[in-house]
Amino acid sequence: MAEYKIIVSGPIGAGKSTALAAVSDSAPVTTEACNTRRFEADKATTTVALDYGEVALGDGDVLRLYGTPGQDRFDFMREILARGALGLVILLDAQRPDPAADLRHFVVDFKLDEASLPFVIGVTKTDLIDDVDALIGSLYAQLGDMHRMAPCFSCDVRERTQVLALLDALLALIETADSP
Amino acid sequence: MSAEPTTPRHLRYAAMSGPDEILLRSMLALLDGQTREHWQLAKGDEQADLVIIGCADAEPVTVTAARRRARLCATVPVRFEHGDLELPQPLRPRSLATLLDNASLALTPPRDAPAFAQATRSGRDQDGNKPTLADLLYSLMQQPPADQDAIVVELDSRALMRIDVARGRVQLDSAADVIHAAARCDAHARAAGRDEHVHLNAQPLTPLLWSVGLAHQHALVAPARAIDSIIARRWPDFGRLPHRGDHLRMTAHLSRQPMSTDQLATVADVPAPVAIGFVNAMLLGGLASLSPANIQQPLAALVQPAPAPVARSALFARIRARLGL
Repeated sequence: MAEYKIIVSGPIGAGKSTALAAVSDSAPVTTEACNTRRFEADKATTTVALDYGEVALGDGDVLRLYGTPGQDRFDFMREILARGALGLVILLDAQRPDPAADLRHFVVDFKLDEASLPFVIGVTKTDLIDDVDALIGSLYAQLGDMHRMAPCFSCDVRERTQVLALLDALLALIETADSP
Repeated sequence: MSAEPTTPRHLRYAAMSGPDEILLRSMLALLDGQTREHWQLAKGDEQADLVIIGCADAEPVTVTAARRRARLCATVPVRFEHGDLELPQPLRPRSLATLLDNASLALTPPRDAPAFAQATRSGRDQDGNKPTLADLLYSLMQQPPADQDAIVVELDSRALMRIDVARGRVQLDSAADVIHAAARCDAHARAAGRDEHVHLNAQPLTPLLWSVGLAHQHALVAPARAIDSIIARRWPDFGRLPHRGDHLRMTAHLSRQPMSTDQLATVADVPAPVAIGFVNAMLLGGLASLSPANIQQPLAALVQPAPAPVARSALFARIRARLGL
């Protein structure tokens, strides 16, 4: 029996739990608690340890999906969860004040500027902003500043197909990284 | 949008309620420098460029007199009279800015369209080939017309679309299947006339460029002559653009290293026309660029299988199958 792991991370309120629920075989295990930081994200509960979902691959093999807590006070969980992962999905909330700064924070936090963990970026809540292209442009500029290139596109995490597109991009990235 | 240091446009209003009048005046001050041209209220009886007719009761003679003293008329939609333009209620700075910009476009005399078309975007290229719609769009994206507000693209003298390159907006006059069919047909562009400006609420240009590029499975005119290899600078926004699994694979390959369309077709295991269409879509959307020949690697180096990834590729195939990708 083999186990594979993909991490879903991002700031509080970006839609990590929703994304996991969209692709997991069964209802994901969550560690939701009362959100005491409503000024960061206006929602009643938030993840405090991790979210967990899985996709059975047959023959006992399983793809495990872990969602990290969004709040920085739980950031020690991120590195632990990322060990041995196939790749990472970073979800960014388009409505936050500075999504490019959020991106930099997570790239540094996961040591993506040094390590070779493949990652993709999904920008959520783009239906609530005026200029999606400008925002995505600013995220590519941020990646360029860090000498990184990664897929970055809008993602409505309520739509399973859009979450799957992110995962498919991540798989394509890992596959091409495997080839010489 | 930036206001140029030219003669200001003059605005008049009539049949405005008291609160709307105050709102209009304050919004006009707020929009200073935010519109295509500078707008100010007309003084006394001077001729105005635009009159806005509100929905408050007013003597018909007052409204008629106001209309006569302006070149263009805008009305609120609830009013029985129809103007050249509309100002939605309730008044908002954004809708007023849109109205003023549309009025500026309508008031600007049409440019010399035939000269523009002859000079830049029509006729045959150096090899005698007529540009197709895809070629034409590629040319527009590479060298956006600096002095044009909008471009009208025509096929057989029939307007297909109006494009505002600077704002990345397009207004389509034809159904999607007609436009896809036109990707391979001869097309030409001309400067838009005064009544052909692109509405600010027109649709984004990116999906059109993407679909036209994919449908055009011959190398675009310009790259066909100069291309050595292509490298992806960005990923397409697959959250908004229709795509297949091979598009993701091809983007991943092109984002790693420059390669020719033939090499791309080989490593991504797709027919050559599909790879060409994909590269066209990437080039049209400004997502990829051309690389010098010396960066291109030999095909053998790109397709050499590695022993370790075999099991991994089987894993990815299983994950994809399981997720229905």
